[in-house]
Amino acid sequence: MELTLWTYEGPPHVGAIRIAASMRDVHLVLHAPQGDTYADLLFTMIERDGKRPPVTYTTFQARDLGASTAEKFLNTLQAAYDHHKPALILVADSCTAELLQDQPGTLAETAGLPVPVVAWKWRRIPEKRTGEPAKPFSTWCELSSRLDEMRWKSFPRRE
Amino acid sequence: MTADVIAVSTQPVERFQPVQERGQRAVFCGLTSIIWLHRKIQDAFFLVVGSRTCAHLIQSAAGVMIFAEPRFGTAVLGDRDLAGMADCHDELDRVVAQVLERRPELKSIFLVGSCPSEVIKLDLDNAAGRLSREYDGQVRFVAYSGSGIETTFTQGEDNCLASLAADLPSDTREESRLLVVGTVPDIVEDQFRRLFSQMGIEGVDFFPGSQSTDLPSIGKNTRLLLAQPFLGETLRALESHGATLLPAPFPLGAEGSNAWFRSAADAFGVTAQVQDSVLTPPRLRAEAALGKYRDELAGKSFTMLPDSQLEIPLARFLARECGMTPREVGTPFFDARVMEAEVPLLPSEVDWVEGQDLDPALDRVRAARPDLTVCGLGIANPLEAEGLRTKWSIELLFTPIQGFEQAGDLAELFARPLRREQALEVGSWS
Repeated sequence: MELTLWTYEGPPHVGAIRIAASMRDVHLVLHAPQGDTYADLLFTMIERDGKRPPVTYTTFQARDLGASTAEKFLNTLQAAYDHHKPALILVADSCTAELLQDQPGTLAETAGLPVPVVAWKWRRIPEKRTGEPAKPFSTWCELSSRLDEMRWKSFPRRE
Repeated sequence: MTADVIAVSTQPVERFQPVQERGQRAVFCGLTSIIWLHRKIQDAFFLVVGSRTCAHLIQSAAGVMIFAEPRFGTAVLGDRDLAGMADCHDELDRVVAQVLERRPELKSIFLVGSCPSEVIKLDLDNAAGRLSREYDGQVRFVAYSGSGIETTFTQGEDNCLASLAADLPSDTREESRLLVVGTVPDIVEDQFRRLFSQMGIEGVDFFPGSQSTDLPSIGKNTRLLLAQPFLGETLRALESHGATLLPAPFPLGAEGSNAWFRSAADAFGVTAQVQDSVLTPPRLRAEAALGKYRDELAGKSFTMLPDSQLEIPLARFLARECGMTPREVGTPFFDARVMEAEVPLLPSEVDWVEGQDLDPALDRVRAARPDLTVCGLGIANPLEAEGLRTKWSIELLFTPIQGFEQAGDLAELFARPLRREQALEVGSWS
């Protein structure tokens, strides 16, 4: 445990939102408890972006823990796809969701959506130097390598 | 007053049934309540036991920049805590000692549970009991949950006060005493005290007060008046000590404030004549102050997205006293007992929603294009960019809005975005 009185450094999943927000037609589905939607204001208030970041949160609550948070994730994923129709879906979980071990990435990859799904894993609740600034880069690396892989799969090389 | 021109439902609370939604909820978690609770309770520290996300949330919601050392902080759980490699209770003791070393003047420390502390089942109640014994009455430790799993936004205050309520000394006095429940700014507290005193109701307690050591006593002769509409659990905790609730609408606007004071006055046997002589002058002042904004607000439509739990009494105020037309009013949850005196005053032909499903709700706002949308901080600017005018619901927690003297200010909060639109002719950002 570490006493923190001030922190301007966001958690890693904010870095994931940042990556999604930096690209067109990409939507992030974030497995996260109610309240984590505060991250929206980092983009809309502090950075004064004119639109919400492209992220849909599961916002699970106590009653969902009693039922199935995995099911809640899948329903949210489908609703997010239906509403936003992105060309690519990113999937991540916030610190608390990771503790639940629903593995939303695996769930999403097998959900049968008609667009590519990119999920990635990171370490559990961050220690020092694994916060927001460290993550966009690794997220970007993960995403670009996966996209590259997919491109070769879906577009056979021209002779 | 405008009660005669607005269709009023007059329905009993049993028949009031908002549409339930269970999708994505754009609300803060209960940790956010710490922002106003720590300002009110001036000898207390709020120690969140949580993650970096929790720390970042409070900082982001608290107005972004804090220049003085705040009386709140986060004990950030690390990998070792989560993996069970460290004893969380030992770790907590160490962090608490660190806090007290920096702030030896503290009289109370609230241990605030978060989503991760709840998921790993860290028993903060137990820790609070242990630490209270360890610090031997020098510092009081109280645990409550502000996690998003358990609470939305203002429910954090409800949980905080409900935990404190368990510790209140019992009151064995024979005469009835009034307890006003819910955080109100000091200026509002002073005004309320003056009016109660003028009606002959003395010794009124406020909960919470500005000192955590100065707790009101409570018993079967305690009469409760709720100053905030999100305190259902606190109410039930106080009732378990034998206290009784005085049913009243909330003290928002001239009408709400008038009914609120009269509910207490009736219970304390204040004659109608005294009530009139004390309450009429401030009520007339409030109505005059409101009148200035009525012209700007009357006929304008509004939507409220669920956020602060203030939505229902505010919709009542805006409809009945400002002549505005509610389109859709959402509230995170509906507590029938707390809203009992509000529901009969609510306008009919409003779409009431309990819970939220954000994307469809935003689509409805875009289709209805109300003149004003009251919503959370994360949503306001995108709606502004689409040419819609907004009001941040969190402002209604930070600004003194209760009572007669604030009625005009409350109306002005809603008039301001509309006026800005006229002055600047803002249409769209693009």
